[in-house]
Amino acid sequence: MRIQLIQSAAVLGHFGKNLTQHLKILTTAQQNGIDLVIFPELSLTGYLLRDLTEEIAISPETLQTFFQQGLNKEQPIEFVVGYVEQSPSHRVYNSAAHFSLDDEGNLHLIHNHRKVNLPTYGMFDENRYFYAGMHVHAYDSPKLGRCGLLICEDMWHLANPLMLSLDGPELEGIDCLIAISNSPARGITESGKGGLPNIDFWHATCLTYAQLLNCHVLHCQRVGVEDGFIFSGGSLITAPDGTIEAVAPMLKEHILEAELELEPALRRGRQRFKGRSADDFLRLRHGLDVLSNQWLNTMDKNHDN
Amino acid sequence: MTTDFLSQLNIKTELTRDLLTTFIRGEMDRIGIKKAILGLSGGLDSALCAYLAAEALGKENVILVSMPYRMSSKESVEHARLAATSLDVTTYYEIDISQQVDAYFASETTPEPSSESQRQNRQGNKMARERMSILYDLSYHHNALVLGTSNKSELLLGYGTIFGDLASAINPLGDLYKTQVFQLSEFMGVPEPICTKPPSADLWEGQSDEHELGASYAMLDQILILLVDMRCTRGEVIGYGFEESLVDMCLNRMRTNQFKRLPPVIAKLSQRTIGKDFRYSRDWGT
Repeated sequence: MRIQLIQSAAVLGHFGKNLTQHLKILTTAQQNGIDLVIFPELSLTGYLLRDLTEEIAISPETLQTFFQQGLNKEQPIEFVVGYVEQSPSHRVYNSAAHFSLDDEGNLHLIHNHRKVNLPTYGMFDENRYFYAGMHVHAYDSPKLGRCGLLICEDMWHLANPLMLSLDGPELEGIDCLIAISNSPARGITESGKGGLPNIDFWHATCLTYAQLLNCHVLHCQRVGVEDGFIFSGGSLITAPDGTIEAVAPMLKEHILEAELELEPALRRGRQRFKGRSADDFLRLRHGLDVLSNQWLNTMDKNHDN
Repeated sequence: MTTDFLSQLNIKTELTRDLLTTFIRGEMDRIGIKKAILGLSGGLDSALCAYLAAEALGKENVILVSMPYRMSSKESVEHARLAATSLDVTTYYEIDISQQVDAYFASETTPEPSSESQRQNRQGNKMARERMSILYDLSYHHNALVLGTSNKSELLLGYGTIFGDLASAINPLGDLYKTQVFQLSEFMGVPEPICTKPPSADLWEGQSDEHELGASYAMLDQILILLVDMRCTRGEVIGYGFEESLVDMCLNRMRTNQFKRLPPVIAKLSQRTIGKDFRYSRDWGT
């Protein structure tokens, strides 16, 4: 299983140029027998879109058509891209699409994730421009097995990986967590250790999730600058036992490639740490029932007052 | 007793250099312009900016311009030359701005300054704007982008001339306090005489930033980093032992100089107004 994480920059608000770049990278990857290629968050549009958000939005079906036309049909491949999704009801989402090109040259959209947690604080303003997704679901990938797909801030909210950790036919959760991000560099004072604090935090988060969810974590970051935001890079591939398989440099464009042995790594991880998801599920369900009753009671009281 | 917050200002110099050279290269690539131009005052900020630009773009792509006024200190001109020769840039201008500044104030139609301090400020502002005007003219000639050299301390305190030295296309130093500019300059190898002399806008003889601002940058930067970066309240900063009048001076200057940090205010009339609900990034489409 050969994978590539594309730590690249995007042309801000120019879908055509970004699509061309994606197709070039993907067809080269096809020639080289790569099984899975992952691009960063909003890889087809750039990040600081502001009023361009609605102008650059497209439907997943249109996106599928563009890639179906541009890829080499002889060579199966899977890939994940970031884009602005236009829904049939004219709402726009910060979305990620996971496509699979099968042996017969047909392209399938195997999962579309709408970012559920839109950062709107400090330097971020996503809730102004995007609608928030409502769901986090696991799905099956022909090459990767049971997968979860999250976008940047989604990873910072425990509910999302927690849902994925339980989402399987037998409540067994996922084998692979794909995360795509646009993390601006920040924090140059000496108080933190090592390099950039935001990258240190991302690495710690990925390693933690890999071990707690007992799955591979593939985290693709972007680089480049937009209006003074300097995107960090530092993409990371980890195995279920928390081993770092590969890490990309900070700030530089880079194709992070790794050859993963999915089955042995999952076996090793699960021999090391046996999670009992069914128990978690029952406890969680009970706990949420208690919490929602408490919350509803409080709402009722406030309403009565 | 004042608690020491100076260590909070210590930066990872190598990381900061990498970020800023990435920033300069990245923004220039986007715009599609290869060359950068900036005014060299002989002081630390512009020297550091020149060093960063040369590192990011190559010395052949950096145009440096020294623009002394007849009352500028000789040391300033020498230090500008020192920075330019140390970097070995291909294009270096020395343009004396005395004639054009003096001609304006000597004109019969120009109103006389009402006081000595007004004269100094008007003359200082005029000099800063003449320099800006020259830089933008040369930037057109060389197809180069004007780099700003105002640091975070100056920007927050409003210690600069609007549409003068505050004017630029991109500013690599705008998120570095003066204390941090000093650290990065030492790391980047800015010549020692430039690093060690007292900071001065050099708009008139013997001018000193720290005298005008009423405290050392080391002191001001601690107050600013507490108020701005660490989001402390006025009371908390005073509680740490910083002089009340100094804290208030910083707060006051930050507030009253906000206009210098923003584009002009536009009256909202239509459904979609530039800057209000017509929002696009500078790097739109690049």
